[in-house]
Amino acid sequence: MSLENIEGLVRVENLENDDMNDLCIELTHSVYKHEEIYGNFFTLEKYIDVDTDAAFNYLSDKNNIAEWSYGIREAELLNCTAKINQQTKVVDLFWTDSEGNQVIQDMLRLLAAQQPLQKNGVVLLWSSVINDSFSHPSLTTADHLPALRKIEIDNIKTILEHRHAEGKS
Amino acid sequence: MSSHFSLVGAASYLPENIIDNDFFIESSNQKKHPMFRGTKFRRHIGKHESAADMAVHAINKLSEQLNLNPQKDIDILLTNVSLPDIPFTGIGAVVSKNLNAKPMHIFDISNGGCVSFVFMMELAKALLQTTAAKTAMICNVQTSAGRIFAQTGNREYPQSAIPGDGCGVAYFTASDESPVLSVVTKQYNEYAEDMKIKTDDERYWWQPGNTPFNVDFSNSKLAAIIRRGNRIVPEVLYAACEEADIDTDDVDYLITNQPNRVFLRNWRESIDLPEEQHIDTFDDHGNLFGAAIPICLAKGFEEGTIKNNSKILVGGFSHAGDYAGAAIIDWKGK
Repeated sequence: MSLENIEGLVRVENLENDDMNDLCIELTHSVYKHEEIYGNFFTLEKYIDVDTDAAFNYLSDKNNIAEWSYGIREAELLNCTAKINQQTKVVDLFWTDSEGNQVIQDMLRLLAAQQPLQKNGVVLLWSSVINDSFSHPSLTTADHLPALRKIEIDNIKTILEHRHAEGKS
Repeated sequence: MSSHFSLVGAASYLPENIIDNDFFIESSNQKKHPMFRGTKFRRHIGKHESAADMAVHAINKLSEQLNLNPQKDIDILLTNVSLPDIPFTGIGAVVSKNLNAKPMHIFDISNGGCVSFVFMMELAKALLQTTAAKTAMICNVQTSAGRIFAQTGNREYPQSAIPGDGCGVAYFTASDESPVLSVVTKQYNEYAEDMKIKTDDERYWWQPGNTPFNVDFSNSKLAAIIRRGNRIVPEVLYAACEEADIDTDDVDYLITNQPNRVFLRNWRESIDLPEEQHIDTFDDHGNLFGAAIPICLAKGFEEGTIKNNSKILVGGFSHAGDYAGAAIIDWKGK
């Protein structure tokens, strides 16, 4: 179980304060390239001003998916199945192609905002992973996945907050 | 639309006193200084040298290059000195006396720090566009490396190795030779009191004592200042491009203040410019505070890096983030 000789490991237990400070400064940039942030997998996060149960009930109901997801419009090309965990407030969406190969996986997790942010509402964390060998002549999903997911996470927020404001959530 | 405000040339003067890293390592008895990374040398102002002397050297050099007669070709003299020769007066009157010149206006500004060059450009532009004055000499002198950071009692601190002294001057005229396309300045007064002068015995810096005063940036403050610099400098660089109605892709050269290598990297990355088009002298001169921009302009011209018909973006921020500024110069050549 020795940590000796593991190349590239930052030995946090004995790194000098100044060296750690230096390393952190070095790692902090003004801007980042799109590819560095998104690549083949990425996580988006969004604060939504509705309670956790309302958000979870909405996201875990597959009938609602057509309201916010562009992916569903490509349903004849991609099939979506959901795996839901009520306790951990997790909704996993698995997208497969016509041959049954999994091409995209979306993992949505809801956290009550009260503890970390000291306010009502919920934080939606959404990780997406795309199989990098996936390409389809008539699907733009692969190339546009980060942008599509941004539009979709904004849609979820907009729909939920709108209905909540009208007392319908 | 023409600004009728042009850069004509720039020159620098560096004190003869070259200081290597051993000067600091010896005094601190430490072999390793994480903050040394990147700086090899810096200059320190001579014991009997003044900021006014440095300015006169640089102005004479530029006058020779541009074939100017300082006695009649400087309508406005603008200066900024990091640690002045004496309190109260500023160096402008001494500089004009030693040049045997009689400018119409002299302004010694004490704010703007590392980006005061851009603030003086803004002032020069306004004066050249609205008064009878037709020419302006902008003069930045950094003296604090030798005057503060070299003191016994200060040079033990790792940050004392970073500053370096020098003087940069630039000459502007009311003309369309190489027009300044935009000048943008910002102030963030919420950060105005985050840079402090500290002493070992809690006395004020002007009170007598046995130890030197120093500039205080604690590690926790350093992290906050780095966050600010990472944000406010790219913002003002973009704003200068927007006001000049050009894209960041059209920028040929970037010149900024040079606090450390990481900021240089980050600001260059923010406009996606290759390293060789970001002109700096950090290895040889360290952090030149406000003098960095005109010294690097002079370097770009002298070494032929800056080609004719190119867009130069200058910018940066000061102190703990209280001011930021940037400008675009459409350099047509001499």
